[in-house]
Amino acid sequence: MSEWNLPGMEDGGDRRVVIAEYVLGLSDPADRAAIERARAADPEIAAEVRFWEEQLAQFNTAYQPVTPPSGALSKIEARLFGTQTRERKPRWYDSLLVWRAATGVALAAALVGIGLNVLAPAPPEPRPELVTAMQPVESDLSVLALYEPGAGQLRLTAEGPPAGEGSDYELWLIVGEDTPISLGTIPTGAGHSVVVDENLQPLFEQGITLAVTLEQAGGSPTGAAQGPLVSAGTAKAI
Amino acid sequence: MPYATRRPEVHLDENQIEVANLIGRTALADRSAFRDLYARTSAKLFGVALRILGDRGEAEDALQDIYVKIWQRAGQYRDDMGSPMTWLIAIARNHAIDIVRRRKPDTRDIDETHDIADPQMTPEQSALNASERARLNDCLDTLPDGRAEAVKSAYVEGYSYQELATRFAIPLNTVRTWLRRGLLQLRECLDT
Repeated sequence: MSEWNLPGMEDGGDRRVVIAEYVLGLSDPADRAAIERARAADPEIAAEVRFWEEQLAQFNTAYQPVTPPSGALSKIEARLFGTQTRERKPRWYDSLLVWRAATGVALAAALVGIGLNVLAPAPPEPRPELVTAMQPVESDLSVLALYEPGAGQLRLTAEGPPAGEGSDYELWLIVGEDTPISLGTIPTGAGHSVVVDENLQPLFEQGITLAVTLEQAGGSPTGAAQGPLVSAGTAKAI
Repeated sequence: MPYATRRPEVHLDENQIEVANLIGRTALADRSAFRDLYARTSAKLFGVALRILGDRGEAEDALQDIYVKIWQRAGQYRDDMGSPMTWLIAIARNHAIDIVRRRKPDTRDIDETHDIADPQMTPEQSALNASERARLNDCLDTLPDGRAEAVKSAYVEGYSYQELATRFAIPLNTVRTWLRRGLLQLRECLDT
């Protein structure tokens, strides 16, 4: 229970009223900060805040919509994403996030299409095999990858145009929001195997992302992905 | 009396569902979803900023800050936080009030009368909110001495205690107690 020691709270004081003032915007800065801390820590206070927010939100109908000036959105985007001239190469991580948002359903459909039932929960075996169907991202490259934990290797079939003179496709392992880890360059065609370093093997589990970028020949010299994202997929246990 | 379809409590307005989806995709850094969200909601949020700030140039600057906050906080929105529009308006309102509080006092003309009539609600909104609105309005009606109007204008206009004191001709050293008594009465009524 938080202590409320506020000036002017005669009549015994009632924290529901203090919270109402907070939602209205009448609290002084110290009280405002105290309530924001309390809201995060105390579910009763959080519930009271939500109660007042819902009740007072009925007044929102009083706000008349007014069309903002037409340049406003570009200014907002410039602040958030940088201006057009700096943006010729979109950050490939942005592409990955958009791909993740947009292709959840498409990926499930692709896996069902190749005979895997992704709706069945993965059996609780230790170290299952993982299959990843990497879908093209603004490209024509699809990659099917099977990870065999016993052998510690990734078997790949990459379908699509070759990377071209002076370029290579590079494969990356991405766990959650961590920095992508290079698994080396890969050719198009079937039957390519990538031996996975034993330090990386524990990272291979359902839900990780495998992605391919187009880099200079030999792969990115910096160890970090520089080129555009061309294919990506999420690993599913089978 | 117009035909009113009684909707079950769990039905969600299609527009609200779409806005919630756009917020969810914005949380995943989906820029085209963010643009759609802006297209659907910016007129309302600009209206909020304009009402509270009273100055078009300031409201335009505030609108940018508001959408930057929306981009940054989109991942925090959850269904149990009320309707997505309520959440967005809260961001806009709180930001505009922060700006007003940082200004010199008494820079707003608080004697301006705004059009009190609310813009038309959609039939869905009317049906969904009817019993809630009735409860709030009934309770507000029980408050004496203009306190209901004070609660509403504190919310809608973002008035400070100083401004409420001037607007409702209450001495500054008693306006807090005056309003707090009204809020307590309102709260107890809403519980019944």
